Amino acid sequence: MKLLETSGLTKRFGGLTVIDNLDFGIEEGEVKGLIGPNGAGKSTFFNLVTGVLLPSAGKIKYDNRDITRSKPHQVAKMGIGRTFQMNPLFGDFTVLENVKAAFHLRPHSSLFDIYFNSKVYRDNEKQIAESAEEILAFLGLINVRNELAKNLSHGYQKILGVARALATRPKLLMLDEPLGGLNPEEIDFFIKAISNLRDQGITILIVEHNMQVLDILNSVSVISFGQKIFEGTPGDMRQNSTVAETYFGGVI
Amino acid sequence: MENTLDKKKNLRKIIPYAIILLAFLIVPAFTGNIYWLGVFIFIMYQMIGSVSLRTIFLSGNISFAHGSFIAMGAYFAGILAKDLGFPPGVTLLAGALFACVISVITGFPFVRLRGLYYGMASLFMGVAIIYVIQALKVTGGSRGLLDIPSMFSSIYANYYFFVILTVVCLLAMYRFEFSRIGITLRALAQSPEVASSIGVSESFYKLLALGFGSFFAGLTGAAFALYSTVLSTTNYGLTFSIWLLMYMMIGGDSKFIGPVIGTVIFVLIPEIGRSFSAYAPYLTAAAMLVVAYLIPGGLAGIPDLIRRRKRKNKVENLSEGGQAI
Repeated sequence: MKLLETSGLTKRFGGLTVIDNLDFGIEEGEVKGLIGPNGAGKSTFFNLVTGVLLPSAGKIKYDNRDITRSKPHQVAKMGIGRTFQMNPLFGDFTVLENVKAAFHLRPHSSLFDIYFNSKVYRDNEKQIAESAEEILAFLGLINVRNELAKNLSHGYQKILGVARALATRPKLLMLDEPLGGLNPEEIDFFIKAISNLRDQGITILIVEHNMQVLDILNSVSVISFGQKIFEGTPGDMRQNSTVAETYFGGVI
Repeated sequence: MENTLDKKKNLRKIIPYAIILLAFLIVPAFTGNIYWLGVFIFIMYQMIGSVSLRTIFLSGNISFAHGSFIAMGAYFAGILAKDLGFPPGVTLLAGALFACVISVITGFPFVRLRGLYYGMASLFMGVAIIYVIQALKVTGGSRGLLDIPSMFSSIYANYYFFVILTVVCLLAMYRFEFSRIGITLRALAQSPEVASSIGVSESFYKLLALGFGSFFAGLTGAAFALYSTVLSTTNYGLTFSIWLLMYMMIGGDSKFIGPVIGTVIFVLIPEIGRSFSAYAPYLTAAAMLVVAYLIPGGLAGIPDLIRRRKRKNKVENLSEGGQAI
């Protein structure tokens, strides 16, 4: 079953068509890559799905629901977690506070419970603290949990972005260039973490330049100038001449 | 072990509030002078205003309309008390709710604005509200609203009523800030994009902060109306809103106690300076410049500044020792 599906998705900025009639789908449980040269429309696609931008035409379906005109917080509520390419953080919060804040949706206490510090709320907060530590341990951030997020190295900040997205308990995790700016060790670690997440049953969409990511992908879509030019397995993609031409400028 | 440490930390947090509260409680024992009691009531009235402005500021928005919402609470309560003869308990609550509801309704169209643009919208809104109050007949127009029945006849009763009101309001707003609601608001202020990606509705939380802050603005306005018995729009213009902002920023906008300290000091300086009144404005200006240049975190940031300086010295000493070896 397709977890996420777009049909005829189009986005125009003035006269410029950034996403052109794009049909795209992710099967439940797979790790899918979205690849394309700079300016291909990858980030725009990301922002359309997560509700930051409204499409000019077309439909987005997630989990059998139409989310075409949903707002970002509604999309998050439905179970789509995301990271950002420029990776903004709650810089004045510690690492642990960042993740705890991200448990905004689950488990949920009513405003009344929160304000009057009821037992339900206190129990929820205890559970949140435990789950947050679990996520940090899983992603290897447990030793820096009390550092301010803005003081972390770039690599740790990227991983913190994933920790925050995981705290929303997503069914679909969307990573926007997660490997950008990481050192080789961090990349190895990240790729291991992603395959771990897939084993836990989370569907993952990765927008990425770095070809190391191909090893863990189940399937790949390649877009160029807002149009899909290839869809298939990473192995087939390497053989495909159109992809090679657009992406690598001819022969590899 | 950790528990006692927490307790010690909490105790240290309470001490400044306890000192300020104690000072306000014993002021009447030192001066029976009606003028000075009035000054201290004026401080408490503005303190609630400035702290509630900071509650709105938590969501990342600077509002220039806060003085106008205080005016709305004041006028609504004043009119209810004067023309309809409602008892003080009802008028106080009605003034607070009126300011709260109007702020949410008028804030709704601007809820998507951020930063400077929100500031501009609130500026227009604040000025517009004052014009409307001036134009209406029921508010007494530019002549002002006179002869509002007062709540207590004795200045002491008024004074202690304000002490209790301030304690209750500050506790309520403190709880708001240090619950998960406050954490969510601070997250929203740091990055609206990230906050919405974890499911925070930006509009809802911004309106929540606005409504909650304006409730206390209306409440303090209403209480002051019933105490002063006279209202004039000249007291509520843009300057008033800007002073509330200055109390907050000079006191330290990152700490709850910031606007509390800011209000006390910057209302008291010109009052104390009255005996050499020619220099009082210089005193205020000098104090402001000192804070702006030397203490960017505001007055409430001084302890942090000292602590950081100390730690730095320690590190330097250590490294010097290292070289000696």
